[in-house]
Amino acid sequence: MKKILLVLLLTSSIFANELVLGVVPQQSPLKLAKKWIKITDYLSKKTGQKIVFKTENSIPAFQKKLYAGKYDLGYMNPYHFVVANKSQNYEAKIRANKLIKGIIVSKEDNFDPKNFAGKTFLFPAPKAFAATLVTKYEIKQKFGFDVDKDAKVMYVNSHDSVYKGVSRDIGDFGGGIVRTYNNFEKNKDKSNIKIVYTTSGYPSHPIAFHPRVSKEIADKITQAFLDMPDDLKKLLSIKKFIKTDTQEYDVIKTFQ
Amino acid sequence: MLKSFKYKFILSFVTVEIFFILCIVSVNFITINTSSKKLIDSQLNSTSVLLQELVKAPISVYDLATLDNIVMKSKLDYVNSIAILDNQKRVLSKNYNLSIPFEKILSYEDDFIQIEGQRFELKFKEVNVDDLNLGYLIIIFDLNEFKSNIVQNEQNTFYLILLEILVSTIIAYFIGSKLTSMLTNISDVASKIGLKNTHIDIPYKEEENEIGQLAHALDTMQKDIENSAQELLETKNIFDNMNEGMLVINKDGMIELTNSAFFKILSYEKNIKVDNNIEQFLQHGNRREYEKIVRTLIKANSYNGEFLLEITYDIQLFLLLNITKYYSSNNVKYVIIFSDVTKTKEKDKLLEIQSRMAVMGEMLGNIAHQWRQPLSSISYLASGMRLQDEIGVLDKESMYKNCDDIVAATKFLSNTIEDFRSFFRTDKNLETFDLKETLDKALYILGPILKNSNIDYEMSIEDNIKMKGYPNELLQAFLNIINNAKDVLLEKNSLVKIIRVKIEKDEDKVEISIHDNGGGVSGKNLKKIFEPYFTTKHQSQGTGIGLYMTHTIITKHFKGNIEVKNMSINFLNEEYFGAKFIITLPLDIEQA
Repeated sequence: MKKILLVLLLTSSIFANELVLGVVPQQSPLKLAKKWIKITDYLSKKTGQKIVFKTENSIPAFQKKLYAGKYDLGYMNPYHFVVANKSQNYEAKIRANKLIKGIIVSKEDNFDPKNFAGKTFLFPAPKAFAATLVTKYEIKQKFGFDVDKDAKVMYVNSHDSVYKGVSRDIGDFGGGIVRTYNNFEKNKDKSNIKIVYTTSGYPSHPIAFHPRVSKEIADKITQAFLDMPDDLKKLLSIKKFIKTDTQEYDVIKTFQ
Repeated sequence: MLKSFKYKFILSFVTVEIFFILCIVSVNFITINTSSKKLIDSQLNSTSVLLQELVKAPISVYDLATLDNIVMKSKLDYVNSIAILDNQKRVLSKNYNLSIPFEKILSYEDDFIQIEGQRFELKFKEVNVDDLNLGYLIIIFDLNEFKSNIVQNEQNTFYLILLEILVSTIIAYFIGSKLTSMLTNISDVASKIGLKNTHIDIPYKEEENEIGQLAHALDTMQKDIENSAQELLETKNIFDNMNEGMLVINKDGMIELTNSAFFKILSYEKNIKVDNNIEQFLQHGNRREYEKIVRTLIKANSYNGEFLLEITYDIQLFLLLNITKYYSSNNVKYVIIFSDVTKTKEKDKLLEIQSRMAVMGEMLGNIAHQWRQPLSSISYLASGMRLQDEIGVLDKESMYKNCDDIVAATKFLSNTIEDFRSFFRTDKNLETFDLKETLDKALYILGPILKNSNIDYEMSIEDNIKMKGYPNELLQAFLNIINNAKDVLLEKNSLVKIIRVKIEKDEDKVEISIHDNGGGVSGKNLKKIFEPYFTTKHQSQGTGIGLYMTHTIITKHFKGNIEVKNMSINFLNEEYFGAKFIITLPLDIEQA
């Protein structure tokens, strides 16, 4: 890992007009580097523009850099984008074609929002887009229940902790997403819980460009994402990239 | 067996090794046990502290996934089970592997759990941030494998010690056998050195170590022994082939060594049975002589003399003894060399008889000459008286005078006979005598013959020279020399015939010289003159016994000395030349 970081530092200092692609650290920086360096290599070759990968040790650090406009382009969650758009005028150009849905898990079979009062809700993190923001938003919009005010909320760091916490009676309900639920190891914990509510679909993580990147370069990079070979897309667990725009994420602004 | 150098070596080697191994192992066991206990305590504490720190953050936010990761995936040594509880003692995460229900653990008060003979260490730790209690951490350590490993390690060490001792013993046995086999071989060879007169090749001489030095020393010793044995053999041969008998006795008289001549002289023909003790052997001899020998050897280191050994009543041996005292390893020993002189003695007796007969012949001549004058006087007086009576002139006074003269003459004849009879007496009693009186007898006997032969005889001698010895034998010796001188002078028939006898007394000895002017003894005869049957006289005159007997009497009986020289002699201012016999005698032969 040290070697990789060293390579990153070296490459960023050699090319003066290179572009920095910042990636939200939803996984460990090492795992991300293994995937995204292949992506940036592809993009550099495809566009003729040197593009380097960059990430941070934590999401708050990433947010700080992003909101300060340190990245020329970035892969971020929709909520990050909304904030970054507001503060630095990042423009969304590409996203995975699927929509993000949040889920609510519980040990109880009957999902009755009337029973939410006084219950304990577990979420991975306060700003987790689908698992936290989307689920809270829809519970409030659809059932008129403000989780933050009328229930006890615990942020337990990860989706797995949410699922395990519900299973082990730490919380009554937990917010997550389908993918992490499916990936949750099948054991006693998983058999204890079930999905009791699924939210509507929302645009997924966009690739957004800082305004200092010329339109010509931005278009080249956008096209390169759209033309990305399947094996590289598979690395990112994305089946297909589609074009998007900043307006598609306006709905997210209401989450705040 | 323990006296063997080999087994001593092995025992010492193994004992020392066991001692040091036990010391090292004991120290190691104590050190390892102490260190292990400290190490394991330290490790348990470290593990506890590490887990406490690791779970603080996840507990605080109920990050059960992280807690599960810590509980399930942390590969911490000796940790059997981990459980994490929140501050309400709800189980957040656990990896529990014991057979008893987990709920029972929560009620345990001891810091260990005993299950089916196995002991588990139980740590119940609070997880606090500042003073805020976040939850609890339960860690169950399984040290059984660790302790089992230590026991197994000790057992392995024990087996290694046994193996080490076994190997060491084998090595020690091998080295000991190698060393001692060389020593044993050398020892075997050493024990054969000197036996059966065989030369043995000493092994290991090429070894450049102490064994090699020993082999070289043995080789040198073997050569020395062989040389000594050869010298001893030669000496033994000399002893066995010498004519004299030889024996060695110790201070107690026990016979330790004899030679062949010893048995030949004493056992051959004589059939003597020699006892082991010399005293029993010598007591057959003259007791007085034996005691004299013993007395002599107490004072002196040697004895020379004769010894008469009576084998039976009718068999006697005359032995000539030489006894020398010497010291061997601080012990007094005597080597006795003897020769059988019995036959020589018998021969000497015969010679003595012959000599006496010869002298007797001489003496009979002298008697005849001595008797001629008185017999003539008796005849003249007797025939004179008859004639005077026939012519009627024999008066009574003349007859008485003539008869007195005849009686005087017959008395003279009687005295002469008595003198000769005493001369030929054969008794040999040691007695003190006056030398001048004894030598005067010779002049009395030979005087008339010397006078008739016109030999001028002169003897100078002091009065009162007393000697202890055998006077008749000395007289015989003296007469032999005078007779010999007389015969030589008569044979030369010189105008001047002289015999000078001179006796000089010293402190403890006396010197008698008889000097004539008969021309001396030729050089070639000087050495033979005292040998028996040697004579220069005509066969009818000389027997060759006289001077031999004289020599025997002077040297053997008187323990004196006799020699002859050719020297000049002065007579009436004229120098003449002749033989001079010089006799040296001790005044007391008992003290000679």
